[in-house]
Amino acid sequence: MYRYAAKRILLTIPTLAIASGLVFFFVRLLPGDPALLVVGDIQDEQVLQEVRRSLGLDRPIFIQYLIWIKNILSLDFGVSISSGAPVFETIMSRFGVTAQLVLIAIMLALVIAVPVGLIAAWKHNSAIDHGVMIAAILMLSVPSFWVALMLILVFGVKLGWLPTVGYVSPAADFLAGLSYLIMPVVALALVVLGQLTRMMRSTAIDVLGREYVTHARAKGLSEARVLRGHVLKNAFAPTLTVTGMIVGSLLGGAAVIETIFTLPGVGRLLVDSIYARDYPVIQGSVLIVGAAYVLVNLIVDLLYPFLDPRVRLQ
Amino acid sequence: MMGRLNLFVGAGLVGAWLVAVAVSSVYTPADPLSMDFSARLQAPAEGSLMGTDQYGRDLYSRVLAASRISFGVSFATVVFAMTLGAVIGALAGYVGGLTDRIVVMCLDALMAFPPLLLVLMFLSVVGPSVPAVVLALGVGYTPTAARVMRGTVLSIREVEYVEASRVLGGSDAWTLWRHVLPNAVSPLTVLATSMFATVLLLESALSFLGLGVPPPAATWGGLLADGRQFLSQAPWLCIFPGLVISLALLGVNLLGDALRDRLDPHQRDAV
Repeated sequence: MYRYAAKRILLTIPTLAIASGLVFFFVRLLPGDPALLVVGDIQDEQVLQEVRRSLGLDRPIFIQYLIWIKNILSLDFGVSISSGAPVFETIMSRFGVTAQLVLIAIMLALVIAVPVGLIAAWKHNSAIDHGVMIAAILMLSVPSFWVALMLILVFGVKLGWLPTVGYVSPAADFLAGLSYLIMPVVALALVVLGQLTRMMRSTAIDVLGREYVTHARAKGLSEARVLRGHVLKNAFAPTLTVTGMIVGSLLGGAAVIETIFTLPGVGRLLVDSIYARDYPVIQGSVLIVGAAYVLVNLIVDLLYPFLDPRVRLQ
Repeated sequence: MMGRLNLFVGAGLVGAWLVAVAVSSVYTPADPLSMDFSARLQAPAEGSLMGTDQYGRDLYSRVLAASRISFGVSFATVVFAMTLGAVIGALAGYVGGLTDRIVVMCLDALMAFPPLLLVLMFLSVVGPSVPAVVLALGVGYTPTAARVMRGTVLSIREVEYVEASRVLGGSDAWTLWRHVLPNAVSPLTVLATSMFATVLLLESALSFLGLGVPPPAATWGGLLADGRQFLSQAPWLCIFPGLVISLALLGVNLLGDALRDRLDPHQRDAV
């Protein structure tokens, strides 16, 4: 068990090393002097020299990478070209909004997908099952940004029930905050709902065919107890692993959704920085959002032995 | 019953898309690029199936023209990722040993990072263009293809007929091509279909953000982004392109399910 955890934690090191390497070298593909990127338009030769030295641009590129990593590990991501503010603080001030959006969407999707997938599996090949499968594949096939626009059209423009752009923190004003979050969350959750329902259903069908389920039924347990005690317990762990992986696509989707609804999250920060060619912020957001994703999956994998005791023995 | 329905509806939708790709390269009802300011933001009517945009361009013709780019980019990306992935996966699986371990570690590392982030990063540096989008998305999905190929190679490397081929003096390249690759065709086809859907979705999202294929070329995501400014005045500009993306995705997804049921019976009912 401890070996499993240690091994899993060590495996994140090559991931972060390779990803950060790509993030570092991509920016070096840009024509021109990287020091100019940091300094911006101010063409002061002395400042440029100083920045070059502090970035280690006079050293070999591999050493430059190591210096860059060292700075990042001390949370020094440089300063934004467009605002002049430190990158790390800028990203952190936006991180909560994105985390909130993604977490609520995931929770909403899980709360619906787990029971619905379970019932569809239990009624395998019935009209209910077919209906669920059709609904799930339809949800998988609508792009979240189109759903967002259609929600705005119906609930914002035509009915005028919900605000279409802007953000109020639910912590400051719960109801107002909620009204700004409903449409972004629904747009983001729909695709995930389709994916998770299908995953839950297929795992549950598999579990329902196992001998221990037959045994549980034979010893006279009610169907409700079989589903809750045996099927749900065994089908949930794989679904949770998939949920962890889906967080990655949600973080990407959040960039689009935040841009549409003008939510002040990291996703929109990233998109805006790409438009503004603000490379320190682009590098920082890609790394921090990516690291958050790696961390989520690490936590899911570390939780796994608690959900499925068989893993503990290996 | 469901499997057959999946196949028919999926093949029908993808077929319709292919027809649109073929027809639009020689004929569209109106010139997708010609502007007519007297016919700005016209609602759908007879002769203009989906209405017109802010420059009076016929939306239906533009959607048809965009079908070509969206298909082309997705197709090229999948071919790129599958080819590169198959080569890397086959070599790693066949050679084995330390090479295999290093390759697998790199693949795992890349797959553990959200691909869209690296794609955005890459595009922010090289700027939006068709080759850049294909390259960025293609490299992003290469690890998935490589893992599937490697898995297949490992599972049949020690099978008798592969050993026999080697004993009879067949070169490694010949053995891989003649005996290993045919076994990988089924899983790779299933993977390619699901990858196609993901890539189409990402390509549309990139175009929607203005980071994909640049204008004046029409893409489905780009049409949706243009229409967004006129959402309340001219909702058809958003409704139709989004509907078309959804139908194309639905077609590919249904076809993917049907193919998986046929080619990969172990995976039946899996996601």
